[in-house]
Amino acid sequence: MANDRGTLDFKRIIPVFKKEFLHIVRDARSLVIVLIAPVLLLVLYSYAVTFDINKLDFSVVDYDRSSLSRLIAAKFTSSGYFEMYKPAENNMAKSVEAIRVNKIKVIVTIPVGLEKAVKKNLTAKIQVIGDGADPTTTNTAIGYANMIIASVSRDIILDEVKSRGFNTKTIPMVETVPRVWYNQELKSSNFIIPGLIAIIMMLIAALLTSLTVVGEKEKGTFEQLISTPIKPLELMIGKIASYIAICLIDVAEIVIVGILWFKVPFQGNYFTLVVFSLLFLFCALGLGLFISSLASTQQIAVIATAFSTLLPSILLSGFMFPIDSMPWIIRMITYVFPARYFITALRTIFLKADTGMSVLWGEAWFLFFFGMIFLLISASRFRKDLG
Amino acid sequence: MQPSVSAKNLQKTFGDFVAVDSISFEVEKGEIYGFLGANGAGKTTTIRMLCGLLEPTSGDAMVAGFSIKKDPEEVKKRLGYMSQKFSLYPSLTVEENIDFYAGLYGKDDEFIKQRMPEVIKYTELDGLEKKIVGDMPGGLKQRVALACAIAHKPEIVFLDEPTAGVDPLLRRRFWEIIDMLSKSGITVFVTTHYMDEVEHCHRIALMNSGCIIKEGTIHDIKASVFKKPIMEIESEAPVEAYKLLSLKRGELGELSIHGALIHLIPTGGMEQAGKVIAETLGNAGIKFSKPENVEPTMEDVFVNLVKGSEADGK
Repeated sequence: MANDRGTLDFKRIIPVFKKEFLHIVRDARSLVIVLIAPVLLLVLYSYAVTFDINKLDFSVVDYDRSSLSRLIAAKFTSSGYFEMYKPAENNMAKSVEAIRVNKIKVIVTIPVGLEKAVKKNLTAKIQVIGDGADPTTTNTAIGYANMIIASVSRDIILDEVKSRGFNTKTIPMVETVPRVWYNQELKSSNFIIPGLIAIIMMLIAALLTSLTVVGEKEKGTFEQLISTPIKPLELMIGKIASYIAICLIDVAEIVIVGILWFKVPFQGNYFTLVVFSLLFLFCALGLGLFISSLASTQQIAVIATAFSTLLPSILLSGFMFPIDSMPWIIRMITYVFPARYFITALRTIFLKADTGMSVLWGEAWFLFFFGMIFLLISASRFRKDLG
Repeated sequence: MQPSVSAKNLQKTFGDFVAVDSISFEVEKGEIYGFLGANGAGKTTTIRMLCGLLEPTSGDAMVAGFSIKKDPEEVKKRLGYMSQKFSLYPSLTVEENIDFYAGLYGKDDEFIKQRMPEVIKYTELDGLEKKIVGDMPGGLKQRVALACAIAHKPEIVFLDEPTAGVDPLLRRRFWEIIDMLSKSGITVFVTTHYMDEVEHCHRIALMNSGCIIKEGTIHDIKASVFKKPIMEIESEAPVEAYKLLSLKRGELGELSIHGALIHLIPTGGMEQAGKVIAETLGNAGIKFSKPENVEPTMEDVFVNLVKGSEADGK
């Protein structure tokens, strides 16, 4: 049967838009999902998902018991990165047990004779044991340990040089002067929160539309709907448009929470943010609609949406793992997930001043392209007969 | 003038199952045309085909001047449909539901603004415009659904079991509304399984197992099915009386029980039948009224026809 003849009629899109909007606004449950869930999720996860190390439990087993060894232990605890796990302090057996049962991640062992060796101008060694079962944390922790010990070592060298009568200002040395642009303090929340915004909106948006078409089928309004002259594409556009309006409120909400509560600097411009939010929502809502047009029940739709949005948005979007390090075939797959583009765009908009649309054209086009594909497939799958 | 609906050899099969078996009929403009039949007789399948929701397996029908096979979307523009479940959006108000459906037919705000009070008045929903539909009782929802189906001023309305599950008083009022629709020139195609309701229809088609077994005005159908009047016996113990009389079916004819009443379609003479009844019930000591000749009800007609068609089938 020919369904798509003729042009789209705006007059028929508006009532669909109004109806969907009222439906969401009047339904307490969906209102909670829409207005409260995103903020809740953002607050919850942004505290949980962090790469920063802060007061990590560790222990020092000091066999040397010298002023130098005590200085080193003190440097660790005063750095703010490490916190002494008292029950295992200076007890190797207890420290080993503590690392086994995940009480601590790092043991710093200071051997007997450390101070003596240093005084004899020999190289002394300090052992840092890390928990390899948690490489992410351990790697970072060992990095910090290196830094602390290196700074102690440098002080020793300088003292020695000074004691030999040299002017310490004239010692040849190469120093790194790190300048991290766009996120000076390297605060991981500064890039995690823009990422989380994309992941949360991906889930919420796709979830909302994934219920609509199959919901009409389950509630029986579908039959009434297809008895009218509405065209599938008009219906889909009406639905997407109203959910875009609702989800934009969401985006605004969590962006504001991100800026005011989590103090993520917002360097870019709001116009670019709005444009990208629109494009991303179009794409994410389209994906939900597409799932809805395939699913036979709302339950299946929810499960399919969770599967196709959550994990890929976290793992294949560059949120946590750099896409450049993935094998090419996986890299190809990442192109399909809209979160990927939105995360790149959001991080850029948030952290890089003066970057507007000009650098993000590629992301914009991809979002638009996939959104259109989802929309058109959903419309073509919406058959206006019961056969 | 061309008829509103004209179906020719309309057939729908689902796999091996023949839901609608090659039916043909015509509905005139402004007519109330009733499809009467038990559940599963093929009424809903027929109405869905006529509304362009199901493609016929074979045959075709012209609805409002367009073929349901070739131009289902043109057909849809000209009809109003009320499906079996009241397909309303429960979180929307009466007005919003009407507004939504009228909008889907491409009606602009001005049209709807003008039409709204008419429709509300018509369906006697005055004062309920701002009520949320989900909170309303079934009888009212049914009228809201009708309001939604007629808001865009269709040429034909298809009502699929509109009164199912609605209490009798509201059913009567609903039929008054349907009558008004027809008087205003709208064709009404309605299905029902309530036998008493067809009295409101101008013409009816009796459906059974996908076939139209009889079509025409109620008067004509009754007259053609029953050449003779039927006999009604009132009894204090109708079930026992029915059992006893059933034993003499051969002599008496077709019997059916309607509450305290027993209807007999006599095969032989009326007097002869009266004698047999008096004898049978008298011997058993069952009190009963003198048999009266009555006009057959639609139920009599339906039972008789279905039995007839089933006998033919075997």
